[in-house]
Amino acid sequence: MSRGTVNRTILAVAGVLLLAGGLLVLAGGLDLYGRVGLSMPHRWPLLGADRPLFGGVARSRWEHRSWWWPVVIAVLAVLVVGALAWLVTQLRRRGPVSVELPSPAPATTLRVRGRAVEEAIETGAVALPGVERVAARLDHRPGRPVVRTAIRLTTDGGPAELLAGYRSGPLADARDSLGLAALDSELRLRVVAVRPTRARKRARVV
Amino acid sequence: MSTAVGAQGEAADPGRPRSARTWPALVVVLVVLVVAGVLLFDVIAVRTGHQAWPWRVGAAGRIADRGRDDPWVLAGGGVVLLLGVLLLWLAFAAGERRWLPLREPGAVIDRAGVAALISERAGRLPEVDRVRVKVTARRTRVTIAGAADPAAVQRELREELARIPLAVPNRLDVRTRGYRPAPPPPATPVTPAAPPPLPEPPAAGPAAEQAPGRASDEEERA
Repeated sequence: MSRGTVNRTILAVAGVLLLAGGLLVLAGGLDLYGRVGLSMPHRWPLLGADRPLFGGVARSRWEHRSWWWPVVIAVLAVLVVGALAWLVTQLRRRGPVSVELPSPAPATTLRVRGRAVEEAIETGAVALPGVERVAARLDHRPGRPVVRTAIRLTTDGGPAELLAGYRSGPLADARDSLGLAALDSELRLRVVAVRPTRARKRARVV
Repeated sequence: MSTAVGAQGEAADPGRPRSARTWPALVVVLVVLVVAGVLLFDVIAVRTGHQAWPWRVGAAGRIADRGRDDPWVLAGGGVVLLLGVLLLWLAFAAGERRWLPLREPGAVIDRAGVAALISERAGRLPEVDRVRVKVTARRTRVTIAGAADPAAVQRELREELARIPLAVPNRLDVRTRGYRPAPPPPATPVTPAAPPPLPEPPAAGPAAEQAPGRASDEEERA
């Protein structure tokens, strides 16, 4: 499961719980059931607007069952451990990425540093017409590398030409030199207006 | 993070980038960690024969003993409900509204960039004094001030917009706003009201003699 999916699931679960809790409190306190004409089952939570929020009965309903405290402790412990695990996976530093090259000789492994690939792509992309800045990053999808590139284009350049040039230029070069059949890529394109009064800035790699 | 591969096949938003929602999730997780951690500590302390924290007992009692129709309880319920709606919104909305997907899978362009390209082209057209461009996910609205013929401007800008390979083709709206012809100088004959619609190549800058007519006396849609 990707990080985004995990995060969105956390948000959805928390959202549903809060939404349900808020609805119960409001429905109980404003006696919405009575106004709509619903008769809720006797055990429905937070029924009856005139009673305290959690009366003595509600608070001590399960307190003396033998399973109650172990369950409370287990649930809280699971929440704490889960939160810590989430933090660890989020904050873990990714190690340097490298890509394995097809080996020229048996029993030899050749790897190329991710930074080298990034620099090659940046140098190639910044030479394309209209490009002002490039920042490339090599990442790992499970099983294969992916290049994430951010390009800042001036209004002198065209996005379609840039896309074509990028795909057939630096990206194809990187794919071929790495000996891959396909290289995944994500590209974020920003366009900034060229000030007519100012001379064009020199392209530079960031 | 965009899901790059085979994105064209998806229903309405091909390859629309989806935010990873790291920050909202971090906030939720930290709140859960602190609340659950404190409660766990306290519950275990009580179970092992120690004292509960007095503030915890006091707070729990004060909250639990309030009436269900107490304004504070109702306000709290309302806040909790709104928070729930907010979190659900964050969970299901795509986010990353700044980026528009391009036809090439995995490639996106920023909306301000589309606006910059369009307004650059519009600014170079003759008889266009000022341009305002607003780009949304499905529509580009251009408001021009000046004597230019909206139909001609629209033709030009449609061509410019078509040069941007957006995955979801954007609709173009060109509006003119508030043009009042400048009073002719006394010696020269009256200039024709409608300027020739031919667009000239970049040489001519924004026509300087046209005062930007602010009084919006007409609004026409091309």
